[in-house]
This record gives sequence, structure tokens and C-alpha cells, in this order.
Amino acid sequence: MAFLRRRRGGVDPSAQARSVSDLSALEGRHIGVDGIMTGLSFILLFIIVVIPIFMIIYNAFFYEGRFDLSLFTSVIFEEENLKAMGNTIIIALAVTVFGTIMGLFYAWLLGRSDIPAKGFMRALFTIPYMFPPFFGAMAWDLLFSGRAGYINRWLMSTFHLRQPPVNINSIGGIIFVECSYYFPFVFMQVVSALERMDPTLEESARIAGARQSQVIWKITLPLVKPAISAGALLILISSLAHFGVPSILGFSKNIYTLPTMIYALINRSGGSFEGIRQGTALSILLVAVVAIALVIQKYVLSSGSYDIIKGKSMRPTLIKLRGAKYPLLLLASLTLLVIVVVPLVMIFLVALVKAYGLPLTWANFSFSNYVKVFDSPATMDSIKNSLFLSITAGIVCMFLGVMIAYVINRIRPKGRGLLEILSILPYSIPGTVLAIGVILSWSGSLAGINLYNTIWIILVAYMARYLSFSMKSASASLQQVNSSLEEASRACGATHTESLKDITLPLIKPAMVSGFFLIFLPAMRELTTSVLLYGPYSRTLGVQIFALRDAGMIPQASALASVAIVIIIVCNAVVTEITKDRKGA
Amino acid sequence: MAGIKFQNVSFAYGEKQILRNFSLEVEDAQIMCLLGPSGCGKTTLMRCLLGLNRPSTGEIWVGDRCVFSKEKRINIPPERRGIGVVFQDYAVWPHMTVMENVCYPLKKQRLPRDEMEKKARYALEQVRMRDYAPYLPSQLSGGQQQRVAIARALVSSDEVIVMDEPITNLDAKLREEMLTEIRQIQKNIGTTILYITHDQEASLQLCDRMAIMDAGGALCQIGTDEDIILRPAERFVFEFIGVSNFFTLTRKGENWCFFGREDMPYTGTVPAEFEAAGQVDMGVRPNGIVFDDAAAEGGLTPSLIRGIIRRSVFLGSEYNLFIDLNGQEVRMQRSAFEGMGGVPEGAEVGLSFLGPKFYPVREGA
Repeated sequence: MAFLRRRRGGVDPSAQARSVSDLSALEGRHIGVDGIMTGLSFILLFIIVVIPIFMIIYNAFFYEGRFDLSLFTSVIFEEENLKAMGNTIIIALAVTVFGTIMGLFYAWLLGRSDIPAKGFMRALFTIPYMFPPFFGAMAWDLLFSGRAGYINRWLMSTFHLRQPPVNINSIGGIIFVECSYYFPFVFMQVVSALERMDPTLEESARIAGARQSQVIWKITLPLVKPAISAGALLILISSLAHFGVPSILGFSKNIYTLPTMIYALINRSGGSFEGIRQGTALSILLVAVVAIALVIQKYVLSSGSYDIIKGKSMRPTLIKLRGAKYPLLLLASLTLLVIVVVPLVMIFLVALVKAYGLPLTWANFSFSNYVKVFDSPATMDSIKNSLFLSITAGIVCMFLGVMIAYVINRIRPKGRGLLEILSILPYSIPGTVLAIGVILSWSGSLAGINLYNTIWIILVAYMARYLSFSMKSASASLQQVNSSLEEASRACGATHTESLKDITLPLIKPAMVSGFFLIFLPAMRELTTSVLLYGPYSRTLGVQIFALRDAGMIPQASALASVAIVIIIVCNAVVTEITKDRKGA
Repeated sequence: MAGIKFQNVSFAYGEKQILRNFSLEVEDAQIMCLLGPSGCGKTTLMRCLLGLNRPSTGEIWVGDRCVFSKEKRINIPPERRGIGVVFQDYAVWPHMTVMENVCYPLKKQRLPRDEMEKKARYALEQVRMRDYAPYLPSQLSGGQQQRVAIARALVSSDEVIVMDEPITNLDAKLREEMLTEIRQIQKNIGTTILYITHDQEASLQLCDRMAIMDAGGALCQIGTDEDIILRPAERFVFEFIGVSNFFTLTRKGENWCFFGREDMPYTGTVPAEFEAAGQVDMGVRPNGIVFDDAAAEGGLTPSLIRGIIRRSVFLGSEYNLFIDLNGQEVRMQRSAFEGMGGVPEGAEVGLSFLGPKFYPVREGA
């Protein structure tokens, strides 16, 4: 072998290094498509993501150009704020624990037992996922808010109670409502893991002599553990940053969490800079709490994943429930009734009632609320605004996501890791915090650009918030498209731009479409960021419902919410239809 | 028609140097197989030729056209190099029909529609896929997709086609068929083909000439298939090209002995150049080992190299024998039609060796 090495000869390493840069210099006839896309990705992410984050940190720690911790410490050590932080953590932990247990139990019941009507129930169990939790909060508020709630009143009059038996306007109530909307995170993760799990893994345990219960504890549960922890941490982070439910159920009883406290601070000060600064300081606190959760997530998720879970769908052996079958079916049906049917029905019923508080009887029903809703220009504007924002954000993010995913996966420039982090980061930043960053950045302090009170500031926030959805979707799809497909077209005489247009884009089109809907649907019902960013002419659908309810026009708020529910259901049906087509092709 | 010429091509992925001053010439209208172990830089070389990788030194020529030169600052982009390519994973575009796939290069050459159709049909004819023109790739088997890829490569270049392990993903029978077909198509059209593989059997069936690369990315030997098999230039080539047995012979007085044992002398000739070293490695193929007990019956001295058959595996047309020779396992292959069937396991046999190759003793081995 020695003489082989001699034959290859030595190459001066410095000459090597030089040669690469020389060549790229002579290659640079003009900056290629690759260069343009890479540069654009960095610039856009800098504007959309880096600037708002920087502005938050800067404004929290600097005042009039000087480093100043006084505001930060004074806000953090205020008793009210500490209490809000405590509430945030208590609620998030409780929601995570109960939501995980609930999701896990029903995932197992529907994934592994012989309970009847599985497909139907499964579809129903994922419904809470579609609707914004604050709709549920509104419905439960209608039923159980102190002396005014319908059920509370009925219970009090029937059993001659002095006190309302249930008070939904409490930490417990908030936990309950958030649980019923967040448990699908664990449910869906675990159901799909159970489905993809190789059934022979369980069967071999039975053959090796394990009892049914031992198989569940020793084989099934450990194997789906990664799915459980992924879902649980998703619940934790979502709940920490959640605004809708605690704002609707908590404000009347002065129960605050960090996101609602930030909103209240800014709202109280009437949008003055002082209020925004206080909100900024509090944002840092919220980000710190979420960051801890994210670190836990990274640690837990990296510690265990099993590739014995196969990609293919297989038929698992079902566990016979025998005598427990019908009681469990009843339990599942009751759960569905309580968390899905009751809130939806309640919203529609109250939307029909002539005035809030009237008994829900035929005599009191009319369509007057709907007429009022559609007559009101503000409401129609909010629907238009939401449609405009969702469609624009969806389309813009769809293309940006594809471009960034292409740069990260194919062009692979130096610093692509940074690019990836920057595009995913805003998703982990609570919406409230993001909104403050956007306000701080685009209210005239930078280059005189003032978007405050316009619809564009909401669009910028939506883009930052949802970009990661389309980026991830495009990225996953690009990884499926082997780069040799594009290289083959280059060898066939297509320029880089032509091969992008003829080969790559058509192949990832389905992912682009689903990326659009992944943004369109949540943007349609967005509340958390819009509620801090809206101006007199830029209310969104979520904001308008929230505002109507805040102004005491509860039946009208319900009417508008029911319209939103119909829009969401229709859009979801369209998405399902489209994705079905794709599979058929 | 055009040949391919690599001159002093070097390429590195970051810190990792893959090719160092690599030179290779493929003659016009030939099939050249570039053979080397996985990860030796074959695919990198192909990508340099196609223009997908940019070498750090050297020149690449296709016919009389320089497609890359560090010195002359030439780097023609892939789409203007006029090289057809067949990738290992076919790279047939799944969203286009067979016809659209094959027409794509012609569309890029801006051919008139009727001529395009004619050329595409002819290419599909060549790979016997004419009837499948309106199909989508997902409706085809792996072998059929590979044919489409070949047809596409045929229309994109009359001159040079590069194939990177094009049959690895096919089953054994289809592999055989595809090889025959590629050979036939090349004869009909006269294209130059650079065929890249780590499978020496495929390259034996296919090539006019072979080039062997070692794991470090250096060229070891170029020659016809006979050259490579019968006259391997280096120990690496000998070992890479097939199963091999190696024995270290030691010089004891007048004789070369196996395992340093004077009672096991080697009766053949060892090239004189190894005499000074006193040691030599002898390589023998499994089918280069034969039983040598006929001597016993003929009255001559029977072979002194005697081993015990440990295991005999019947493979249809031959037996694979694993023989224990002084503690070393020796693999031997014996035609099933030679002698009277199998030899019982545990029997002692005398051995002699045909076509041995001698290499300097490997250090540390």
C-alpha cells in the first residue's frame, strides 16, 4: 500500500484552500439563483424574526440608550405579577398532567381495545383540536359562571342552593377547559404511534409468557413513551403561552396568567409606551418559563426514540374488554358529549337567544343576533380582515417556507443551522410576546416605519408565527424528493431555474398546499397576537368575538363564534377533500 | 462520438480529500467500467464529470471539448455538458409520464415537435418500453423505470452516457437482462459509456475495459477484463476482484515452504525478485486449488500439502469446500461434475495450486 500513497502525491493545503475560493470567484458570472435565495432567506428572517426579538430584549434592559434593570426588577417583583407567574405554572402543569392522562387513556381505548364505533369516536376526539379553546371557555362560562350560568341557575333553583355549586371562573375551571382542548395533542401522537407499532412486538411478549396487563406496562407503554412525552411537552408549552381561556374565564375574578397579565398591562395603559415597556419586561419572564420547558423537551425527546415503530400501518391485536366494554363506551361517549357537543351546542343556542339570560326555550329564539352581526360593518370588516390576513399569510409563508426549506436542505450554505433555528424559533415564542416584539419594532422606532394600528402589523406577526409550519411541511417533502431528480434534469439540459420550475416545485406542490392550510386555518381563528395588535380598522374575527363578549353582547359574540365554527368546519372539509385527492393520485 | 478524459482531477468534501490528481481516459465508443469499493470516490468522479461537483484542480474533457479546467477557468454548467446520466435510484420524474420523461431533454434542446416524438419513440424502442409511453413511473416496476432512465439518457446525449450503479436495485435475473441490453444498445448506437459499479461480475459482463480504484480514491489498474482478472497489477486488485486465499511462503534453504514448515515445501516457481526478502505472499483463487492425490496412484510422490475438509457446501454446479490447512481455513471451489460427486467431510486431501500470484508480504499481517 505504501507506494500507492506515494503515487497520489502531496497537495499543498494552502493551494487547495485558495483554489476553492478562486473558482467560486470565476464562477460568479452573476450571482446565481442559489445566491439570491440564500441571501433573501437570511434578510427576510432577519426582518421578521431577529428584529422583534432584539427589540424585546433591548427594551426590557435598556432605557433611553442606557442599561437599566430598574424597570425589569420592579415589574418582576411586583406581587401581582409573581402571582400571575405562579398561576401560569400551576395551570400549565395541571393541564399537562390531566391532559396527558386523558389523551393516553382514550388513545389506548380507541387504538388497542375492541370498543365499538372507533372511527366515529376518533373523528370526534380530534374536533377540539380544530376550534380555538376560547370558544369552549365562552360556552362553559355561559353554563357555569357564578350565579349567571345556565346550569348553575338551574341547579340552584332545583336544589334550593344558596351558593352556585360550580364556579368555572377559577383556576380549576381554566384547567378543565384547557385540558379538554389540549388533550388531543397526546391523543393523536399516541394513537398514531400505536398504529405504526409492529404488533409482533406485543405478540412475542405474550408468547414469551407475559399476561395482558404485563404487556401493556412492560412493552406497549415504554414503546410509545416518546410519543407521550412529545405530546405532553406540546401541551405544556401551549398552555404556558395560552391567552384565550384564562382571559375569558379569569378576568372577571382577577385571575391572571402571564400572557393575560401582559395584555391587561398594555390594555390598562391604553397602549402607551410605559404599558408596553412593562409588558416587555413581563414577556422576558414568560419567555424564560417557556425556554425552561423547551430545554426539558429537547432533553426528553433526545433521550429515547425507537425505530421499531414502523412507517407502515398494521393491524394490531385488539384487547377484549368483555364486561367493561359498555361501561367504557358510555364513559367515552359522555366525555365526548361534555367536551365536544355541549360547548358547540351551547354556542349555537345562545347565538339564537334574544337576550343573554333568557331561558333557552323556543319562544326566546330568533335570528336577530345573526342579523345584527351581519348588519354591523365592524363585524363584516373583521371577517374580511381575517380572510385577507389568513390567505395572504398562507400564500406568502407557503413560498417563503419553500424557499427557506430549499436553502436549508439543498443549497446548504454556511449558517444553515442558524437559518433553521430562526425559522422555527417564533413558533416557540408565545404569541403575546411576539406581538410585543412586533409593536416595538414597527411602531416608527426603526427607520420611521410605522405599521401600528394597520392590518400590516398583524400580517408581519402572523408571518413570523406561522412560517415554521410551511417551512417544516416543505422541508419534510423536499427530503422525500431525492436530489438526483433535480440533477438528472440538469444533465438533461435544464438550467437551475428550469429544473426548479419543472421538477422540484411540481413534486412538492402537495406539501405547499397543505402548508397553506396549516397556516390558513389557525390564522382564521387567531386571537392571542391580534388582540394586542388590532387597530380601529384592523379587527380580526377572533378579536371581534372577544370584543363583543367583553362589551357584554354575549349572544352576538356567540352568533359570530358560530359563524366562525361553520367557516372552520367548511375549510376543514375542503382540506380533507384535497388531501384525499392527493393520496389517490 | 467522444471519449472522456480526466486530468489531475482533485476534489474534497470539506476537509475530506476524495480524489487526488486523478487521471483517466475513456476511449471513444467503448464501455469503460470504473470499479471500486464503496466510498472510494467513484460517484464523486461522475459528479465532477457531470458538473455537479466542482473539482479543485485539473481538467475534464468530453471529446475535444474542455468542460472543466481550473487553469483555463472553464466550468461549463451541467445543462450544457451534453452528457446522459443514469442514476442508481433511476431519478425518473414521478410527476411525468414515461413519454414526458424521455421528451424532456429534447424539449430542452428545442427540437421541433415531430422530430422530438420520433427520437423519443426510437429511444423507447431501444429499451423495449414503447408500449408504456403513457404510463406514470409509479405504475412501472423497478426494472422498467430503469429502462426509462436509460432511454432518457440516450436521447440527452449521442456521445457520452454515465451510469452510476444502474442495476444495483434490481433482482438478480433482471440485472442479467439489463446488462445484456445495455451492451446491445451500446453496440447499436456506439455511445461511449462510463459505467460505475462496485460489482465486478456486472462489469465483467459489460465492459470493454475496466479501471480499478482503491479505497483511497487512487487508480490501481486499467485494462481489459482478462488483464484485470489474470494479471492483477496489485494485491488490492487481486483481493477486490474475487474471493482469494493467501499463504505466506518462507524461504528455507533451497525451498519455499508453507507456514515455515520444511515438510510442506512449495513445488512451483516463485519469482526470483522475492528471494532477497525471504518471504512472499501467495494468492490463489478458490478455483485455483485442486486435489492432488493422482500422484499416489501414478507412482509419483503425492502432494505434501495436505489438509482436512471441514465443510462442503453444494451450490448446484459446484461445491464450496472449506479446508483446514495447518490451522488456516482455505476456500476451494470444485466443479460438481468433476470426479464422483462430493468429497466426505473430514477426509484428508492433497492440494496443489494453479495460477498463483505473488506479492510482497504485507506488513503487520
